[in-house]
Amino acid sequence: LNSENLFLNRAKIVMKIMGVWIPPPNESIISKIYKFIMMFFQYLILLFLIIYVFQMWGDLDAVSQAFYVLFTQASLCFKVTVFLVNKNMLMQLLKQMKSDIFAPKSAEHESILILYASKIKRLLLMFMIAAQTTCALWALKPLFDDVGSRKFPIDMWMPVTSENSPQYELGFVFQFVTITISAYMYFGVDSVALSMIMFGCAQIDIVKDKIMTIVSIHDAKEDERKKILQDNHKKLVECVIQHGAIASFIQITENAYHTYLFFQLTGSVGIYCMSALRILVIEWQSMQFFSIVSYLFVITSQLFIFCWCGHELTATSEDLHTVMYKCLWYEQDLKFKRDLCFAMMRMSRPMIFRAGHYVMLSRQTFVAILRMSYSYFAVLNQTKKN
Amino acid sequence: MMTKVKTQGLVTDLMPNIKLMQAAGHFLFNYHSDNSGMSMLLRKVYSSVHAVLIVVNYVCMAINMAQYSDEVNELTANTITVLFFAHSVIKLLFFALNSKSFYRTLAIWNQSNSHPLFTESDARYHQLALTKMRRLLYCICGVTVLSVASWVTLTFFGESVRFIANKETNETMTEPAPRLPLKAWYPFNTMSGTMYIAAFALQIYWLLFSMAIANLLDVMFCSWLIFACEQLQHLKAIMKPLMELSASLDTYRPNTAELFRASSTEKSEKVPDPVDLDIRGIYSTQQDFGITLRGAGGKLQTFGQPTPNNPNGLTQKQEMLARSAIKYWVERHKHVVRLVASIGDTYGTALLFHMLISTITLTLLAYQATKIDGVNVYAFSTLGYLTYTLGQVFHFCIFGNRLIEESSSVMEAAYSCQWYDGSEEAKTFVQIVCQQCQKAMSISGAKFFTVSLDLFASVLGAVVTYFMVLVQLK
Repeated sequence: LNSENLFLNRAKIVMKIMGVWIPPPNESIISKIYKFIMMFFQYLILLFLIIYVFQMWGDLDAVSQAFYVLFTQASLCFKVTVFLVNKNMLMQLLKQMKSDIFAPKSAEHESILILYASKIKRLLLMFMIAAQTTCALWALKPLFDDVGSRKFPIDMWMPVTSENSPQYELGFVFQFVTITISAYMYFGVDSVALSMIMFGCAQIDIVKDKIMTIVSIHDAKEDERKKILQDNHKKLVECVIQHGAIASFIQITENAYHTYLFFQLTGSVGIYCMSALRILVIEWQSMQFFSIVSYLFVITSQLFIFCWCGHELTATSEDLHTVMYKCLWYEQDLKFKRDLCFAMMRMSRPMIFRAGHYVMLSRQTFVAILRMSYSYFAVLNQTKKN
Repeated sequence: MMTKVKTQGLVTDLMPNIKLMQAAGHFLFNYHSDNSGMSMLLRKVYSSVHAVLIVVNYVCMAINMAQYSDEVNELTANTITVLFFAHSVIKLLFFALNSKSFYRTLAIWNQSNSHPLFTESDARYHQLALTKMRRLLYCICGVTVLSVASWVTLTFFGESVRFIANKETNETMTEPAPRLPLKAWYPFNTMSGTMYIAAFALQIYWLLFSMAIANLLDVMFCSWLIFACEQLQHLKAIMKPLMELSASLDTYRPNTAELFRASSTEKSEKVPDPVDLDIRGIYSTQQDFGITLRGAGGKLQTFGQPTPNNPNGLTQKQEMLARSAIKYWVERHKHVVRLVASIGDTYGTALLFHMLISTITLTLLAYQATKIDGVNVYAFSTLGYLTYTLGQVFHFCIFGNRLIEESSSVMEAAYSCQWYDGSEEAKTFVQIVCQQCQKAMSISGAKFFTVSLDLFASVLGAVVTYFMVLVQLK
């Protein structure tokens, strides 16, 4: 059972197509050029959006419309850049995933891994579908909303005008394709970070399973007792080593991906405000309204998935402390008990995943972000009315 | 010429900072090489002159604030400036009154214990601390000079006016005021001429010295925290070789050379083979082995007979070395705890005053920020005040937070060093260490609040909340 493929096969395929996965040691010049072109297009769109925002400064409506696309694109560029810059850490993580410590030792362990993998893949699939729907709605907007006038799907500065025929189609296709690619890249990078966290959760569950297999010495014969005690102590030491390895695995993940998570969390607040302001002005029959609603759904789901994963990790590691107590420690020898005491002292501290090494990812954070966005939205709305 | 003054411990590390503080006019009279009566008198006169000038100009600014308190905008702006520079006056007075406490904290690290196996690690982390402290000092000095320069530059833009409330019509009029960096009342006319230039020069000197006084004291506080953090890093780093050393005491290993080979799986402290160290000659008696507690300190604990059932064939010296390593670790950790406690006692009250004044300043600044209507001098100056005030709070919050994180991660370092292979003695040592290190070391502002990033986040959140409420009330 290959853990890496189990958790990351979809993400790997998507990112290989986009050209941003870890390159093999002797990367060909063609793949380097391909990666460069992909990244270049994304940054180009970002640049066009920035120019547009500067042009439209002062008009709150136009700026708020452009702003949330600008933020999404900026967030994506930042994400992919961080991902590519930290590829050494990713290689380290993938190596650790394949190491002996984390290898499943029984069918029970394998089923735990499969369960967690399917959970996270389902959530990410939902996110992916929502993201693609948003892109499609954005593309359909010029065809439905402003029939007759030729406008681009997304308002931004374009080097070509929408009048001339081949240029309009080219510009349209360029925007649509690049935005779709950016949605896939989003999915890919987020998959990696979230799969690592869920892998950590699965491993904690495996440790719980291991410690519960401590055998009772009650019914054993006299000569077998010593051997059983030694085996049990060995199991405890294995659990301790595995727990330490999980802690350092999660630490490396946090070090690799905390910057863009922090950026995304703080930016989401602004996104909610701007999108909510847009929704209030647009009439609800139009395609644009649906595209904004779908976009809000995508952002909310992404934020929720992150907070949920962080919370799962913290809750599972807190649970581990309780499960350690449930094993048959009272039948073991003094050495086992003292070592268990020490292990439990360490496990009483839960594993916390912090964005920017500061904001703890949990359900409470999710609610706090929603609350903050609502209060800022209320203020901005009030100011606009006045 | 002045001979190099003999210093040790923290004073040596912080000498540039101390010299700058003496130059800026703090009442810091120790750590000079030449302590004759004449030069002491000169130094006292120098500091007193600075103190008098700073306080007098501050009082002039306060008089100006009282004079033009009718109009709300003018009053708010003047209050912010007065509060902004209250930091400098308070810090100057605080240091003058509490200098004994500062000297005591600076002297805490004068005698530190040492162990031949860990001197290399100690020196390395000490050097790291020194580099970081110097870098911080240069950075803050640069920021101070930059702030003064931009303040003076900004004086030349915009209209040089003050707001007056017309009593009859109740509207605001503007009246010309001297184009000076700070609005203050002077007994002479400063609108133009030589008096104007004199006042300008005085204000530039005043800006530079008062900002330097406040910032240099903060830098000293943060440098202490950097030093404590690097000591904790050193302790974390030597945990692993120490465990391997202790494991050698009653776990049977066939080859004594194996004992001190650092584990090859990860980068760890290189533990030198003790037969290479010339311990046989130096440490010949039980009294002067391993631990050398120079100067003041506890009585050296003499270990009893070496354990009869040491299966490894360690010589007596090697065994004492192994046991003394644990003692070194614990004593060094206790020393760090003493240092942090002393830092908290010395600077806690100053932090409390700083936070009180900053809170009021930031509230007023939130109100001023609601009146920004474009890219002009007003916007730049308000944003400048905001950034500088928040930056000062962030400066000590980030270092306080680092101390908390470092001290609570000692437990994880202890846990991750393969204690399950070790001797019972080593395991007990690690367990007790972990129990103690569960509680993180932190600096508190006279027990009212803890200095950490949470404090900064709450300050920032409060500013944003006030801003939003005030915007709605307009």
